[in-house]
Amino acid sequence: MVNLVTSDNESFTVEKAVASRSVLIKNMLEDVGESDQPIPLPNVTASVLKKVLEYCDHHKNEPMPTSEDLAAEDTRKRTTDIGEWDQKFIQVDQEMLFEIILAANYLDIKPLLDVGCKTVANMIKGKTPEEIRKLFNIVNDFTPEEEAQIKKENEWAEDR
Amino acid sequence: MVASSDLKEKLSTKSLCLLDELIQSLKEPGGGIGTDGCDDASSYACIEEERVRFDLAAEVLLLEVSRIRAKRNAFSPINKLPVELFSRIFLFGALSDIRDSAPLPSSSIAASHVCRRWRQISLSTPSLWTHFRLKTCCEWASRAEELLLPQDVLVLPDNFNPENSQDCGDCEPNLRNMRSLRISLRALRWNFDPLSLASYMSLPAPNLTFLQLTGEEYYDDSDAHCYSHVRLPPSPFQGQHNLRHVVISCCALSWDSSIFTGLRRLELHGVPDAFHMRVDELLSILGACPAMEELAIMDCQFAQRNVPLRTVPLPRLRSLLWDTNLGYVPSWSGWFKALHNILISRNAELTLRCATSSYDIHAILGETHDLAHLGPAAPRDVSPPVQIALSRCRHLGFGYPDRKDWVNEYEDPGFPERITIDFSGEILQLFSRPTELDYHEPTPMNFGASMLMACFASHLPPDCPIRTLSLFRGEPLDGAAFVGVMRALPHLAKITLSEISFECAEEIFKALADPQWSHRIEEVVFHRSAEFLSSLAAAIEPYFRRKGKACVRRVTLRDCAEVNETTMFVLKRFVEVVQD
Repeated sequence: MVNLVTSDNESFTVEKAVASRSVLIKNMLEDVGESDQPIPLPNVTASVLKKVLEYCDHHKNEPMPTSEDLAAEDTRKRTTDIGEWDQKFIQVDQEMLFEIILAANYLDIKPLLDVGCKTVANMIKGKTPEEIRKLFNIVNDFTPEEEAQIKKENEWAEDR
Repeated sequence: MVASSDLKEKLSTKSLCLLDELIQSLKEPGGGIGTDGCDDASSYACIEEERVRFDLAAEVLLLEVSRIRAKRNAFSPINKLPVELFSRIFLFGALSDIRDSAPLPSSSIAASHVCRRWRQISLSTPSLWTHFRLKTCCEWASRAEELLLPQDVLVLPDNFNPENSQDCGDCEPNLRNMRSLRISLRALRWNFDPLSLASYMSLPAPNLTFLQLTGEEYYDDSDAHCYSHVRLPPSPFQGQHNLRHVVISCCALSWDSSIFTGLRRLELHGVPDAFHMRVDELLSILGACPAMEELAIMDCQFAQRNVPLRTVPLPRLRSLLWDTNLGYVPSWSGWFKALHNILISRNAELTLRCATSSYDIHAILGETHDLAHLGPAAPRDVSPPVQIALSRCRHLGFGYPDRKDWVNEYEDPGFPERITIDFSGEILQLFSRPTELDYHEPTPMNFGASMLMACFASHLPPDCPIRTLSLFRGEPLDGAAFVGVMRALPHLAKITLSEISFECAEEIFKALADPQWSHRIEEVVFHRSAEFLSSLAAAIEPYFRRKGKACVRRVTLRDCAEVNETTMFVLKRFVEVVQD
């Protein structure tokens, strides 16, 4: 078992197979060897780690991404589809979604990071810039010059 | 200052200075709105000066508003994500657009129009802009920077005429850097001059490894043949390219171009003989690509001309897909000749779907190839694909296609020798052309399969490993020929009979139960037709009585609607009967 301690000082004891879905933790465990020392995770809160561990537990028996998978990371062979379980798992409020993405990035859990990023990409897909702003509580902060350029781009795209 | 005390945390020093100056001027006598402080001569200049001052102040304030809003946006939860994660998210959007064949990188455009930060990130992520159409303006090409990933694609639009293009100049650096070029071409009437691709193929492209030309073909309202035909420059990319993979789809061009040299992968889709590709030209291309690893020829026809054909060995070929099944095409089509002059490794993955005649396949299976022109370097372990298909075949089938699959051909029906070949994995099926000789009574009078089987049997090697033999919709005349093949297969274990005629079935059952043929069949499968079970039982019974065991171990009924129970009872006395 592995003991993980979050930024808000909460302790989680999990199976090694679950914790090792995180490349960061896996490397730490390999470096440290057999040890009862808790692993501090200063960038992750308890509520987020709980979700992340739920994901890791569900996927613990799946093969880890190979170096080939990672090499193919930027190729267009990657799909934007999300598995059924993952879709349900990631149905959280926006704040938690972004926290999960940040945690997955920090803990180096590529499949979870992809689930998060694909979810945000799917939220953006098909929306106008104004709809996206509304969705993510963003205001239009373009300068007049930038606005003019964007207007030009829009006119061009509408002509196609 | 009131203004600076409120805004000093938020405004830049320059903006504060400008605002201070403006407010100071408003406090001075006559500095307000109006022209009281100016004499007549200078009043106009004075007004103009003030107007400029206010315009400037307004502009500064707008910039400040923008800056403040940008700071406010930093507190939106999504903007907590670092730049690299935004790029990742945007990339998934771009991938989705590519997958959906969206004409524009819509997700990337939308992202770049949300706010300043998103715009900055999206514009500094070249991979979002590498899949685009040239006319989306060269600005987007420049956004792709010098990204040199193999998947970078420059797509020219469908209705694009390069000769009339003035907007390629700015793209030159990108053309030089591109790894992949994909051009979509519109169709032109057959008698129009071909489109010149000189604009895009005249610059050196040393990194270019992939080229795809995609055209279209149709007949217009006046029934004129329209298709995409292009003119390549005499020396594409000034000879400086690294093309390894070329895809030509529905497009006519000069096939002797240097773009077809040294390729590892070649895909030709929809190149009918009207597009002027001849057998010898295809073989010349392949001869110039001795290290070819993957070859796919689909929906193509090749015209023949009276020149000697030189056999091309492709010993490194890992995969050959030859899918030129255009129905029961006239025998003058040269594609089968082309196929037969390619020699491939015996280990290559092979899929064949094509049409020929039983005469041709008879001639070809008996032919040997002379590689003397290659000298001592001639590869040894290569063979014609059809011979490889036959050597790999474990499941052989003959017959006629399902009636619903008959091709409605407006051609002379008097060529029953035409056949289609379908080979994949270990299955080889040869379907003969169905004919209806009696037009008043539309009863099929097919006999093509019997001709084919009769000649095919002579090419089966003595220890042929084929274990399954099938007959589909066999006609009365086909029974004897099927028996001929059956007896030429020493390892035959299974026979599948699908919707064959009564006479044909009788002939086969008689042969199965012939005591002179000391071969026991493991399984006979009846597919969609079980009405001959009583005939089978009648044939098996005397054999059983004489030898103490049946000539067939098991009978399987597959998709058979009505089965006579009495017959089943009788048959089960001799053999195991299974109903799927």
